Amino acid sequence: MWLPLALRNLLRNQRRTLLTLAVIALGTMMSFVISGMITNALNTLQEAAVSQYGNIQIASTLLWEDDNQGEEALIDTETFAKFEEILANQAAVTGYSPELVFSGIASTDINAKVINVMAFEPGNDALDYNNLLVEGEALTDEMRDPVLIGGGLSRELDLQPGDTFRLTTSTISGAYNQETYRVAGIYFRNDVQDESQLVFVPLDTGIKTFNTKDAVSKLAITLESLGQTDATAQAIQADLDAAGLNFQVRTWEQLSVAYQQTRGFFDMMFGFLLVSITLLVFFIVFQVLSMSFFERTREIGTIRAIGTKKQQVFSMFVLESLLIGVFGGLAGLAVGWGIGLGLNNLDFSWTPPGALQPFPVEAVLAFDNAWVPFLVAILATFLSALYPSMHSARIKIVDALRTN
Amino acid sequence: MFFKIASRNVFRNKRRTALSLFVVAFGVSILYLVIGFINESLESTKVSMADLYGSVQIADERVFDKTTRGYSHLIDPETSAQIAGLLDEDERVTGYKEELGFFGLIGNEKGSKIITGSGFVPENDVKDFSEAITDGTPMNIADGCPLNDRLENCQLIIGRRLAASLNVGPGDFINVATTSVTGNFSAASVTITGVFKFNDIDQEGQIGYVALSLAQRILRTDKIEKYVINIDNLNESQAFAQDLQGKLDAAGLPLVVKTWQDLNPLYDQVQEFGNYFTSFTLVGVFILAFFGVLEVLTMSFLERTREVGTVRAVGTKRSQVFLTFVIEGFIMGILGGIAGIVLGSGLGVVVNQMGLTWLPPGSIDAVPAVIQLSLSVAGIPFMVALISTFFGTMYPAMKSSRFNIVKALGYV
Repeated sequence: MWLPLALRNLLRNQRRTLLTLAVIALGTMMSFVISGMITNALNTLQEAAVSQYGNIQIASTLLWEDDNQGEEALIDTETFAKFEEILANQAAVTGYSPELVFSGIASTDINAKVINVMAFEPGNDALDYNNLLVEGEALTDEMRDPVLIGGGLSRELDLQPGDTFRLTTSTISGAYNQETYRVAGIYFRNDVQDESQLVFVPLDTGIKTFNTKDAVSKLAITLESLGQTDATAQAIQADLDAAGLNFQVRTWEQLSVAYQQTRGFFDMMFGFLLVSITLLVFFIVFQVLSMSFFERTREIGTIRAIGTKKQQVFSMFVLESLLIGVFGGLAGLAVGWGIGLGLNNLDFSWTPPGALQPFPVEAVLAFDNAWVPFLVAILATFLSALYPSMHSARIKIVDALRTN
Repeated sequence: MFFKIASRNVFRNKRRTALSLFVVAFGVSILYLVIGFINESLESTKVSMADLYGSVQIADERVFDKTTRGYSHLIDPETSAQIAGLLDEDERVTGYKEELGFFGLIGNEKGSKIITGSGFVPENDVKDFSEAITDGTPMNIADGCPLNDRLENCQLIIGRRLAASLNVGPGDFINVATTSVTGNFSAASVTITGVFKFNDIDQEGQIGYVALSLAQRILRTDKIEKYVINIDNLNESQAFAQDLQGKLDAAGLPLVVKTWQDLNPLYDQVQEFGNYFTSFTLVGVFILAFFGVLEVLTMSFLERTREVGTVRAVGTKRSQVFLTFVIEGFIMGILGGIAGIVLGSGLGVVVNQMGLTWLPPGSIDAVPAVIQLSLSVAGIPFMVALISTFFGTMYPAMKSSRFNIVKALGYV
């Protein structure tokens, strides 16, 4: 019975209801679109991070904390075999790939540059960096000392596929070593620094150059789904600790400083905007409902006089506000959806710090982002209705009947 | 006269006015905080970029393009003297330093790492990293690397992470090996005097600084790579750069001047992001304030229908009624705007006092989240309050002023 009454009350002053709905809808729409844009930006960064690091990595604490690339920070073949046993027990693991990292000086006849070398097994089932190739050939184990270089390095050292350069490095034992690498292909990654500083070589070549006797720096692991990352990381860490291995598991999120920072920044911004918008909506709705309920003082007197209880009047008002909240929220999501679609077609773009190419500024339109703004809209409306409802319900019947 | 009536009308229903004012003020304060935060971020980005790159730099174009071939891009002493002459006679220049970059291997018998090094005169008036030292002492001019002295006495400061990965610290000897300008192997054993922090985790594991004379000795050259220049007003870097470029061109020197903003895109990126964020907040606040005011004034004007009938009956023109209402809205806009700036400043002070920190992209140390509080920040939010209130007033004012007098008088 109360629902039709509340609905009818809403339709009484249609223009006012429409305005209130517009305010709530606008607030909901803004939160929805912002949350969609932030989700999109984070998803993009997340994809980039996972394709760069895998889901989790295992390496020595020395490597993680001090960037120590010495022998004591490596994973030898014996330890690696133990890792394989541990990983075999983890159902979520879809693949893993050993990697070796070291730095050196790349030089040609005209110039030289400091570079970081990442050695991996071509064609492995976890992170195959051959996927990044844009020009030339992918690395294979059969090639003789091949290397993939970034577009930036290709330009700076004037290297094209087929060209060679010397890589000078000090090996793990401290000896001075020089190898000649042949550029097999050029890769692209949307990262200014990697493009001009990181090169990829097959694992065998890396092991030979750095002279590690088959030891590697770290193990990159991919999982079935992103959601399993934390649980699997903990399980593997527990197994490592139980086996007495002094190695540390890190997730892609811990490895990607850029992701953490961007996420922290966005969370702060979204929180600020959400609170602000909610407060604005709260006050506007508060004002309108106060007025609207106040106008009905005489009616309240009448229905109270025929036996309606205080709490019934109260719940009727609250129900009315909830209806406005629900309708406003729904309208906001609908409008937000439309605006989001429009925005996604406008091709706005933004170049985050450190990236080479701009990312499109787009909003993810999904129910995952919709429920927070929706609930917040209802909550703000509900809270703003509390005081006027309480106030109206408590008016003395005699006074209320007399009100003009 | 209308102004008086309008201002009296504003204060008739005090609670309602207070609430509408609050809505406008709150919107204004949000915008104020957002713009203040972004301005401050831009300002601190600018300062840290200028700290890293100086106001402007002079070097061969290939240095900036990273397309150098060998060491043919270096600036010889004669040209260098010419540049120093140009800089000395310019009053805007507050300091300059010469730099010579190199890279090579750094290490001892236990192991070695790659070093990206640079040489400059210690205790120069631009930047010598003495304030970034976390352990040991900075280089000093007397002992940096005296000519004819033994190389072991020459000083080197290295990044914190590089020191950690080599497991060395102040007082240790270390070998630096590189290829000289003529392509020969060249090495020196030097003393680490200090370890410094650098606000980039990758760089910190690679970077080291020596005295210019040492860099020249190991590279076997008397040339330099670039000039780093500071000027008195950072905001005029662009104009100064153009000016200086003109002088270099006139002197026939084939060198290029770049400002800190040209050298790192971070500032432009922060600005681009800030623009998106500000515009979005601005539009949102504008529309919300607009609706808030529209709703309240519609009701408020409607209540006065009978009064409107009365004033119209005694001969007040439609346009005059309209004007009264518009002035009323305008007063609310001004009051709301001022209240918003006051509220925003208050909130800003609180936020600044709270000592919140955030991590800007690309740095390792968190920086304080500071909101810039100034009149220049307040301008836009204030205008938004005025304009949105004005538009919110237009429709109800127009409507109320057009009532039929007889009907209005009969309105209950």
